[in-house]
Amino acid sequence: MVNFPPEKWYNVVPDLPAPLPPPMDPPDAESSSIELLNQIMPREVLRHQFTVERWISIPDEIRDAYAQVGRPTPLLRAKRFEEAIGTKARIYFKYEGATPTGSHKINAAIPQAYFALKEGVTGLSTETGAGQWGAAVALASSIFGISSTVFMVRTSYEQKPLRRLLMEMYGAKVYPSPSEKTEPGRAALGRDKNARGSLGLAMSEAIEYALKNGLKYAVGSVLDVVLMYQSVIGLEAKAQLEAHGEVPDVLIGCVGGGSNFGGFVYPFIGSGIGKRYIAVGPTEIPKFSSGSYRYDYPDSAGILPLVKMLTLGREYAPPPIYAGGLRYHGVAPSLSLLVREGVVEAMEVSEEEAVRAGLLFARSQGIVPAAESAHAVAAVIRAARESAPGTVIAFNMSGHGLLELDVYRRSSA
Amino acid sequence: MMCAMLIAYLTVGYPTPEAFLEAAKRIGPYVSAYEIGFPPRFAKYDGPVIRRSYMSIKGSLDEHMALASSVNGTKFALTYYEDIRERPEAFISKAASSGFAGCLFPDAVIDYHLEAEKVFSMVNDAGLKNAIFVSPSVPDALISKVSRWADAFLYLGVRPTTGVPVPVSVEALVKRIKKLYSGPLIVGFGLKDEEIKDAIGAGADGIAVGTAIIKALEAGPEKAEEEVKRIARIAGN
Ligand SMILES: Cc1ncc(COP(=O)(O)O)c(C=O)c1O
Repeated sequence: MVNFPPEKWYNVVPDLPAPLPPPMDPPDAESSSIELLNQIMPREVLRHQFTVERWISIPDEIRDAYAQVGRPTPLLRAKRFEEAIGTKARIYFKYEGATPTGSHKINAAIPQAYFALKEGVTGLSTETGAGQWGAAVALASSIFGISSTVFMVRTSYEQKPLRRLLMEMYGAKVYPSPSEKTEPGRAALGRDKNARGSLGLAMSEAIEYALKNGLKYAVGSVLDVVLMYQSVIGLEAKAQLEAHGEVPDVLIGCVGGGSNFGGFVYPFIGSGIGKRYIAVGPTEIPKFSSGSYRYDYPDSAGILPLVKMLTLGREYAPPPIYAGGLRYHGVAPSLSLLVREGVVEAMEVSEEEAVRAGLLFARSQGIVPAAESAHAVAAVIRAARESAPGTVIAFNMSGHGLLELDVYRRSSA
Repeated sequence: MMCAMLIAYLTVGYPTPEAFLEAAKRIGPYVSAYEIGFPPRFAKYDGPVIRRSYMSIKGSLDEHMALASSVNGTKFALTYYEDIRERPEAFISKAASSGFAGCLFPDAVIDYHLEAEKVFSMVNDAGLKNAIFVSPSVPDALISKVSRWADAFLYLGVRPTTGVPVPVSVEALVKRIKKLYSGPLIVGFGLKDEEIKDAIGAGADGIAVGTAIIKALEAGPEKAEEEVKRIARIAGN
């Protein structure tokens, strides 16, 4: 039985079907970018990244903060949605939108802010696309009384003023990226003064800003340690499904960098529960179908060490789909490996299909999915169609879309 | 208490053939075995210090083997499997005829786990033993499987690359391996002094040291000897 919030995080690495290729320094480098991580990330976060153990105790202060932001989040059955799509499958969803910032991102922000504070750091810097991760870092920083600086991809900075306002309400300093504040930002503006920015570039800006200003950088996805911090989602969901007397057959999550998917699905994979695991990405950013599995940089400036992952290349400029959180060139190394090994199925759905699915979910269940999460909803519809009656499908509703209703405007008319 | 094993790493012929042989001789009394590194095209699990040492040495594999053969004592031939994959038997038989006790391929399990056991059996067929390298990112099931071949020792590298200081909990990592494997366990990769004690306290049978020796050796074989002596003392020998 799991206590709420869980007492331990789960790390999938010891349970993978093949070794996870370790992070690597660039082949021709004089200095070590792995070593540079010491200056970039809080020490305890790095220790968690590199000390591979299946279970890691969650400090009480973090469990308290998890409880304060509403953990455990609800696990609900989507009965009216089942009826709306005419399926005999039973559909459950974990509702990460029921946190103050409206997404799962707070689960990984809280430990990083806590460990930064513990080592005497005065603030965190980070990047954000749609603003979900930035808002989470802003809130987590305010919980532990440290500062936060957020580089927000310019497209979203302009399109999503409400999320920017939310971050500022929590006390964050928010800059549009590319910005004049950092070298990678100035270089991008030098190439094109109207550059729209990307998550990878904003990441590079946030890292450089942290290095130059004695702050630590909070990493929002992709790295194993982030997926591990997110495991509270799946650990709770597993216990909650047990309480419903259900054993899920199909588990589904959307993928930007892989953190909500890994957080939700890995605890099930680790305990051998489930027959199909489906990772959903956007058709417009085809990293599953067209990405190659190779060592690449997580950030576009190449400050971080190389990791082996499915990637479209760090130079890749993602098209401006509404789901800002999915506009990223790579996939977390552990998830890339699980896809390669055939444990996790990858699926791609278009923005149009995602929006239609999200709208149907909103109309039937009342909860408006975040544009990212709507991709998972679309995959649920596809999976339900293929499933035998009585199949149990569980998916992660990674966030709500109440601050981005625009995406539904066209389709609901 | 039983003495902890100390495995010393040297890059073959580095910084010069003479200094290499001199260092090997000087550190001999303090070490249980040598790992001697033969330069690969890309030493992907090595940090800048060892990478640089590989890049600075010249000569053919045969010349390097001939040089290494005059190092007395138990020694293991280390290179990257990636480079010898076409004809592993060539490297293995040269190691056998140069007086090596066994082989160590740092990338065999991590990058080639499907064919690793085939290579380990080739090593045995040549009359050599396997020192098998695993990293913390090797899953439990695979550690259990490959460690059965570790008739010399299992080598746990606690960090992603040699000589690069990232924080890890050595004790937790060693305990995880001890649950899966009961043979001799050697721990290495950037161990700090206090971590040497942690490793042995957690049940490791010994430690491997590389970067620290190479760095010291750059200042002279006598410095390498001092460093190895110092480390042997910390390890309780
Ligand atoms: C609501 C929501 N879902 C999903 C994602 C995608 O990220 P990840 O794959 O790391 O969960 C984001 C990222 O911003 C998000 O805000």
